Amino acid sequence: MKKRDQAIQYGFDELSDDEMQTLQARYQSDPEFAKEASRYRKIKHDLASMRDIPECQLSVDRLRDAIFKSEMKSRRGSLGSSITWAPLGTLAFAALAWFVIGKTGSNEGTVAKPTELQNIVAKNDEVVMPPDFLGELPAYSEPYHANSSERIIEAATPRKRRVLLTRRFAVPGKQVHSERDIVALKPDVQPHEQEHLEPLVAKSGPVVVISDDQNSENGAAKANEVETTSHVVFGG
Amino acid sequence: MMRNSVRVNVHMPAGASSLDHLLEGDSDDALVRRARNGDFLAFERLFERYRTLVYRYAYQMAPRRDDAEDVVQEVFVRAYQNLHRYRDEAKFTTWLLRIATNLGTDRARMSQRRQNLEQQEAGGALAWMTIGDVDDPVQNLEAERRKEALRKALNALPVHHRTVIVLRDLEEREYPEMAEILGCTVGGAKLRVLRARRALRDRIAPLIGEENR
Repeated sequence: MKKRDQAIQYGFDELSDDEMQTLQARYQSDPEFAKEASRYRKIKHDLASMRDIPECQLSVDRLRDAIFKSEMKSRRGSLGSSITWAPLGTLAFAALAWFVIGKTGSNEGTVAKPTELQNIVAKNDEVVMPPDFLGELPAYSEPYHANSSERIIEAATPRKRRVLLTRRFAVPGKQVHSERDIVALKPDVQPHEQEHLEPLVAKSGPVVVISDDQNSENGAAKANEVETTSHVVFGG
Repeated sequence: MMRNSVRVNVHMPAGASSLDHLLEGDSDDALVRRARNGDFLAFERLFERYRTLVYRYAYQMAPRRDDAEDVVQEVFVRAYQNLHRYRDEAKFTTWLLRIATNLGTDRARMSQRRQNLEQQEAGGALAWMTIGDVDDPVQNLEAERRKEALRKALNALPVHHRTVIVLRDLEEREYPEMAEILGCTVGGAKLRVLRARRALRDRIAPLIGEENR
């Protein structure tokens, strides 16, 4: 042990009895060592005098309040973080839902089967149809991949079909009743649109032709059911 | 010789065997268990029992009462929040002081900066107004001067040195307990104390007009 460290240990009384006796002799014989050890002893004494301190006045109430506040803060923190992440969670959910629905929707890119059409018609039709109206539709052997708007048009009830077609191929002052009307009314139909229309016409099932004549009983437009649009002549 | 006897009626609850039951319910471990189970009164008892111990340490690290009380409050708040982490193998007081030492580091630095500013403003004028313990005013002044120098030197020490000086020389903690608080071996704790005393001596020497070695 260094001389200085010995002086520290001696001054702070942190030596074993044997070490103390050895250094006691040195303390008496070595003035420099004695001086240094005395300095440390004084420091020890001065440190001891610093032990008197003012009384702690921290109350139990203050502690209780502090704990309560910290608990509230931690709860707010966890709530706040969940609020912060909530929009992201919603977005993620929406994206996932969009992906799943899009995936499912691509499987529905084929023309809806008659049973499906029947379900849709049963839900949405405004015109009362005979129960076997769509049941007589021929089954589609080769599914046609239509885009979403075409799928909607095909699956729609006749009245909705008319409205949808009118909207899509709008010609001012003219009403569209079927796909053939479009060709007739809108000669500038683009080739790519015609490509989509042809299969619709060719594969068209029974349709209801709504004429301009009104029903004398209720004033509604008259509707006639036909097997297919290919047998129907449309005119303005 | 007549002996006056005093008869004391003690009402023991049915099934309670002896005073041991009460003592058991009053031990630190029992209070901690109760506090863990949501008994806040048990935690309050722990607080009342040990707030002075923590306060003493905190005050020596940052000698302002309001700062020290803030530290005590923070130590007990953290203790309450982390009661589930307390392991019975360490004494509860050791655990509290360990929290205090971890917490005290930042607080001490903050307090030291503020204190240095205040001391510059005060210009040491307060030292002349201090009343000492001894009748001799010259001795009083000398003692106060030394005390003030020591306080300055202590505050100027790096926090890790100050921590061990406070624990060992001001709060008189034993080395094994210090080792637990500081998370080191007993030998390591002794070495840290030795180094801190050396550093303190080097700091105080110029303040009281002694030469450094």
